[in-house]
Amino acid sequence: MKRLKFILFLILFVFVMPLSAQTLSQSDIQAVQQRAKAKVEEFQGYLSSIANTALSQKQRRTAKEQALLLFMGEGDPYYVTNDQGEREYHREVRMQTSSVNRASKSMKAMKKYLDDTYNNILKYSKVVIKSADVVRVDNVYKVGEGKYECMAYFCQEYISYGPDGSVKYGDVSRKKVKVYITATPIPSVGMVYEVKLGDIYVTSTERLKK
Amino acid sequence: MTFNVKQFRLLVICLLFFAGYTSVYAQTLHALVVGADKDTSIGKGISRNLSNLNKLIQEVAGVLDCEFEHEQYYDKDCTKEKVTEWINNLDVSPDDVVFFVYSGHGGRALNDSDIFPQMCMNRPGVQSLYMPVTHVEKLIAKKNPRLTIIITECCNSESRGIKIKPFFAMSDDEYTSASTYDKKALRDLFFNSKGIVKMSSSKPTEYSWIVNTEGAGGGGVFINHFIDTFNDAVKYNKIAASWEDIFKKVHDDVYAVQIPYQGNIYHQEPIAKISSSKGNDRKIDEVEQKHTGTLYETLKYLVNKNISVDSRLSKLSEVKERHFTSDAMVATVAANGTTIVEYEQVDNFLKRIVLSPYIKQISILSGDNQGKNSLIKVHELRD
Repeated sequence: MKRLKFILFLILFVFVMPLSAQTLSQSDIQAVQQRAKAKVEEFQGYLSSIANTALSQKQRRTAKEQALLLFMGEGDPYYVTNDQGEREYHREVRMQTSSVNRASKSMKAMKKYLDDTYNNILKYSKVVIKSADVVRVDNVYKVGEGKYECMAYFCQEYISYGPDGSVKYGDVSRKKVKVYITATPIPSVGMVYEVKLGDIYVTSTERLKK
Repeated sequence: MTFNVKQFRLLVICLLFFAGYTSVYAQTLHALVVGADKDTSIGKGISRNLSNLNKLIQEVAGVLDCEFEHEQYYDKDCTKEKVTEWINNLDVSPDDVVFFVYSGHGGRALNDSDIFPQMCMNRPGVQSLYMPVTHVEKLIAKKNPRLTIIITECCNSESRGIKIKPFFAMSDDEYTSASTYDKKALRDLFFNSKGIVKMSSSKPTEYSWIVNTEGAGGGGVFINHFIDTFNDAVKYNKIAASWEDIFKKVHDDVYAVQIPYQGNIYHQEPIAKISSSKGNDRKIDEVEQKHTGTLYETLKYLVNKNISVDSRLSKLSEVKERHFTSDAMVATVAANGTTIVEYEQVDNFLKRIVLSPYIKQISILSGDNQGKNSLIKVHELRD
């Protein structure tokens, strides 16, 4: 009986393991890194549109919807199946915010952050959010079967204006975002490497120099 | 000098006519990509070739921002009849460029004085359906374009079963697809050049070789080197942007490849006939953007930053109705031509490309340019 179990194990190991292993080639790694970079750039672009009250409501609203699609769970809590086949619950993706006027940082659900930006809750006359540097993406590493992660770094400039056109507040924040890559085979299409963004953290904040 | 009202009206009419005349004849790049992608022995490699070539020619057209007519004939459409019909139906102006590429089986008759091969198209077993490469050249020449570019990747090996074909009998009997590109280099190779550029992957009696996989590394030895060298000329400025320089490098690199097969080492030596001259740098006329044309033209309209985002967003329902089924999906392929990095509903895809300030062009790697699609594969050219 023991021998039979050992033989069965060998058979599984030889025939099953290679079929389920998914290894990213160097070319695939570069491709997903480029995609991660593109997604962070798109997020910055959407944020810029959402904050720009001079744009139409339709454009700003569409940008908000599209921004959420960039993230795990699309801004809602989500489940991920682990290597043991169990569904793990994850809370919604969050955005860390900071200010040069306070020492602490705060976390907000991404949906709320984007809603607040869209609704201009601080009632500035004008808010400009834009990219201040190129996006960098670190090495991609495997974290499970068909699952990979990496870190992306970007820089954001934020300026708000009062009714008289004067600058009320301005800062430059350096941020990092965890990127999740999931390999999923799709019939008639092939292996799809889906790239999604996770929580965004602030690494530094400086007052904008005039 | 003064005009009376009648003379003034006549002048305005003449000016409007002239403006209309010049805008109708914007330079056009006509491209036909043909391949036997369902062949059991080489189909996967051919498929990779065709995908790479479609991406390349669409990017060239996008960067040059010229009028672009693009057709693809694969599998059952990869025939002499379809190619001849396409050429005969071409509406070619004197400033246009015609680009033809074939990837598939090929061969030659014994004692044929023409060094270029015959293309087997999708029926390698029926030699009467083969089409000589030189016949394509002759058909296109009748249309008198500014520049003709013909590139073929196929064997040029001899077979007793293949007969020499006269070039004109066939035409008498019958009917009848960013910021890394150097725009000047592309203009020099296409619209600033005049004449004929004809290349084939191997010289008489030789086979041409292909790696039969759709994944990375797949495709033909010749086409892969051609694309790399073309990029060296138009993206990286590693070699001069001239067809002679491009072919010389392709020839040398391909000939240096040692191909092991069944215990032997093979080589293939590409051949070319290049009779082209480069003129002064010519401006490419502005193209009217429309969302009601082919899928390629529609997607080009949707990423045009000169049209307001709101205008483009307002066209999405119509675009979706015209080109897609209700449950259509879009797969985005990375620059390496193989890794799929996005698989999304067409609604999200269309909104994304309209809103993005970075996407300059969408190249369609697979999809129906005229009809409704349930799945398309695309590549994004980004700024």
